Amino acid sequence: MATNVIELDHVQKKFGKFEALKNVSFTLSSGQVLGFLGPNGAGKSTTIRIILGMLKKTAGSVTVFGHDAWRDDAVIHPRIAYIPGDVYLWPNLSGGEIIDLLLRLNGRDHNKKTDDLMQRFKFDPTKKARTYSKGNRQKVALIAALSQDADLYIFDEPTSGLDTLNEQTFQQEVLKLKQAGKSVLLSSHILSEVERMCDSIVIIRDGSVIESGNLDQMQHLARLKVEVKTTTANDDLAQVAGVHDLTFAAADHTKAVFTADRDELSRIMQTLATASILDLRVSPPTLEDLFMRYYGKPGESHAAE
Amino acid sequence: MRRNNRRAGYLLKANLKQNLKFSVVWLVILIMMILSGAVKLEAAFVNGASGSKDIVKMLQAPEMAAMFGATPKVSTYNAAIIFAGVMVVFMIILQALWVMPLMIRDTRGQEESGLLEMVRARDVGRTADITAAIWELLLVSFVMAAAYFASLIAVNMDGTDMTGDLLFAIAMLIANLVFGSLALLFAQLANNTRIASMLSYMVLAAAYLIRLVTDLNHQQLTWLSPIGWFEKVDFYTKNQLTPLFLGLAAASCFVVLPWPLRKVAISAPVCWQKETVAPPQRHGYDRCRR
Ligand SMILES: Nc1ncnc2c1ncn2[C@@H]1O[C@H](COP(=O)(O)OP(=O)(O)O)[C@@H](O)[C@H]1O
Ligand SMILES: [Mg+2]
Repeated sequence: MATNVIELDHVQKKFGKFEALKNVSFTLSSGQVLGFLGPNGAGKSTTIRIILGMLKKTAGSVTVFGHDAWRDDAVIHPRIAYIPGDVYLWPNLSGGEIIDLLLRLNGRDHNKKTDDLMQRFKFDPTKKARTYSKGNRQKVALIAALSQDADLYIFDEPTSGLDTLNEQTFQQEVLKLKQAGKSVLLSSHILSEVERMCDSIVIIRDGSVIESGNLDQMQHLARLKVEVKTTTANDDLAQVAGVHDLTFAAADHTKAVFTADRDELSRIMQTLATASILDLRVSPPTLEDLFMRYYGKPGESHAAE
Repeated sequence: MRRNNRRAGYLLKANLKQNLKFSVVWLVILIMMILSGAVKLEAAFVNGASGSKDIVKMLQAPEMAAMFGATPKVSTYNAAIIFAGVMVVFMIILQALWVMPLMIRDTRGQEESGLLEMVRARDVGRTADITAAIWELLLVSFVMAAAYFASLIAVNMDGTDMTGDLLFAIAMLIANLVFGSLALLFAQLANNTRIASMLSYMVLAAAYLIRLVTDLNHQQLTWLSPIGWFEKVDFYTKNQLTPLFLGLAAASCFVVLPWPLRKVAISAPVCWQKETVAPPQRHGYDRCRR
């Protein structure tokens, strides 16, 4: 058996004249947790639908478990658990009924893990789906997917409707999948979310993959954004290694904004401390920051055109 | 075929539950219609010749023929003949207003909302939703026909017999299949529920108008309307079977067409929507070349 769970090679997808995917190539190897990162409209969902054999590619090749994604969906699907970005359910069925049904649609049954997950996500399965919020609908899909023992898990922006607590629960579940050696494809437009869970990332923009690789190798992509206020001027900062894009907000140089390499943090902090810190705000870079920095223009979607 | 219908049974069960209230309300309305129609006509005919003659006369007036359908020309009228004359067109239209949206919701509606995307990502056949919808149509129509039959037997109008009652029930079932499968076909042709419903209602209205016009003047041409076919059975008098076979044949055609359509639609979509409209993100399937 091939060790690559998903292989996309120069995949293109046209909707009529519009090229939603121009050139998408990446592989997901067995046991890997791959972050599929891109702004809205970049083509993440389209790529995932092609992987799931629901859209036909215009060109290129797509294999899952070594099988053709379109032709052999019957072989592939039983081994996959998928959560769409926008979950819609049968409004008149209860959440519990739908979870059981979704499991059965993959030849599985309601199991102990299902009950555990309902508890962990604090999900009430007795209510009719009509009454569920977006987050609750998402939980239905999450519980059904996570309680299925699959080989490959595909999550399309799974936390967009979840609150922070449930988001954490979800992240813990993904880490469990990782420990169990499962393969995971996780799409997101939030860099920090992907960073927390994934080994590798693939960045897609305007239908093309523009970066891919190991997260450690891409540490440079993940500089922290630091805003700091000190009592005395902070002019030394410019000389410290690992400080980039330094700007001063106040004329007396007591307010600084910069990005910082993580492995240089302790040295940066020492320098800051000598000027005695009044206020400090550190935030992870967003995907937009990245695009601004590396490609000189924001990663806006086609939707704006 | 079997591969493409994997696990349609589960979808059927979910859809039946989803549509339970809707279908039960409609079934109750339809059965009440049949019962009240039959009981009233029976009463009119039992109360003596004068009342019944008035009814017959009234129904033979052009406006009435236009609305309800042509009253068969026989020497002596009874409650059953008049019942069929009044009810057939009316009931078919009501039934179509029930099954057409039902079929569109089960297929295009679920595709549009994104529900089918999650379902299809599981081990479910590509056309399982259509299969499930057809089974639902058969099931609910069968329940309806059985209830009609039981109601007619129970009221036991003057002039009815087992054959006529059974034929009426079966004919109404077949009418459901004709209009239900037509809606199913439109649900595959159009790329959204609104257009699918519009097309379905347009055909229903056209069928009604064609039979209206032809019932007045050229009754031979009533054959052009699917609703007209069922008038041509002449329940409780001639009990013609040909129109019913015609209905079955038409329904079979409509039922078979969506399969090749769905396959074709993926590479060279059939599309009835303007190209400029951007689809919502959750449209899982590109039916349209854009
Ligand atoms: N069925 C479709 N028909 C036409 N265009 C589509 C369709 N689905 C997606 N698109 C377009 O393709 C682009 C990529 O969409 P999508 O894959 O959903 O992006 P993402 O998931 O990254 O936000 C968008 O511009 C979107 O409008
Ligand atoms: Mg998306």
